[in-house]
Amino acid sequence: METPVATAENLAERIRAGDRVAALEFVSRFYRRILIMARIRLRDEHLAMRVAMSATVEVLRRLRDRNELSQQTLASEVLCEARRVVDDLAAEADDRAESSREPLRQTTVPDLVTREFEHEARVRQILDAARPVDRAILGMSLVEGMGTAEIGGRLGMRPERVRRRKSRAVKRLRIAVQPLTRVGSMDGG
Amino acid sequence: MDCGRAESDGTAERYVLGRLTATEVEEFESHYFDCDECFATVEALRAVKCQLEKDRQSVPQLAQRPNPTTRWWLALAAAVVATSAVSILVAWVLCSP
Repeated sequence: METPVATAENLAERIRAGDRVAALEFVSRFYRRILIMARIRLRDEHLAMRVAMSATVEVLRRLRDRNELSQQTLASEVLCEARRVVDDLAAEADDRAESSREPLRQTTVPDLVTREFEHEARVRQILDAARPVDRAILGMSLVEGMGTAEIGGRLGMRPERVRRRKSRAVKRLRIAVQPLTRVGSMDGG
Repeated sequence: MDCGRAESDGTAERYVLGRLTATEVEEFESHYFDCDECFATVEALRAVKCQLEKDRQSVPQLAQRPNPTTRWWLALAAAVVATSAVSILVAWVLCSP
């Protein structure tokens, strides 16, 4: 298995050297992380997708243009830049939303959009195959925000059993989703 | 922040539900930006949350399903009603001219 730090440093150097493949690797590795962060911060799916694309490209540009390497890891640098860009773009989007429906800076990355649909379809498939009780537990937990005791009360189960079932269900989902998360990541895809 | 702590605290779930403090958010984001395992958990939880919200219809149905004790009482009540109905019917047939 690759050493993440060594690979990340190498990736940063290659980006600065103008390596186009490195730029694509960067997008594959960090776009979804930035997207998740934008979704959680903005609570607006559509805006988050647009902001994440713009932010990924913007972070890449800033990294490429910077001359000196920070002592931080690449992930920390990306997170730091991404937070700043997401906040800036979200503010920009707010301003635009008030004045008009003009879209944000146009950044089209069709492959990422396709991957997003594939990801959703896979999750849909996994959920459809899940046991009804596990779906109920996940729904009550993630949609209704209930704790294990409350869920146990609803389903006639002990909280510990609910916790175990939920933990197993999340693990199964994570294992199924992880290959998609890693698609085209550091190993070149 | 490390994976063990994140898992035992249910940090990923609380992150997805927006229940972390600002400091915890910063700390967890710093962690999952560099950790494939925790990022996969966040991805899975968020994707599932999103899908289940889309077909929210199925959640209340399952959530309101009676628990085993309630189901047992319902079965007993149904049996009593059925027995009574049959008894009345038999009595009516026997008593009829």
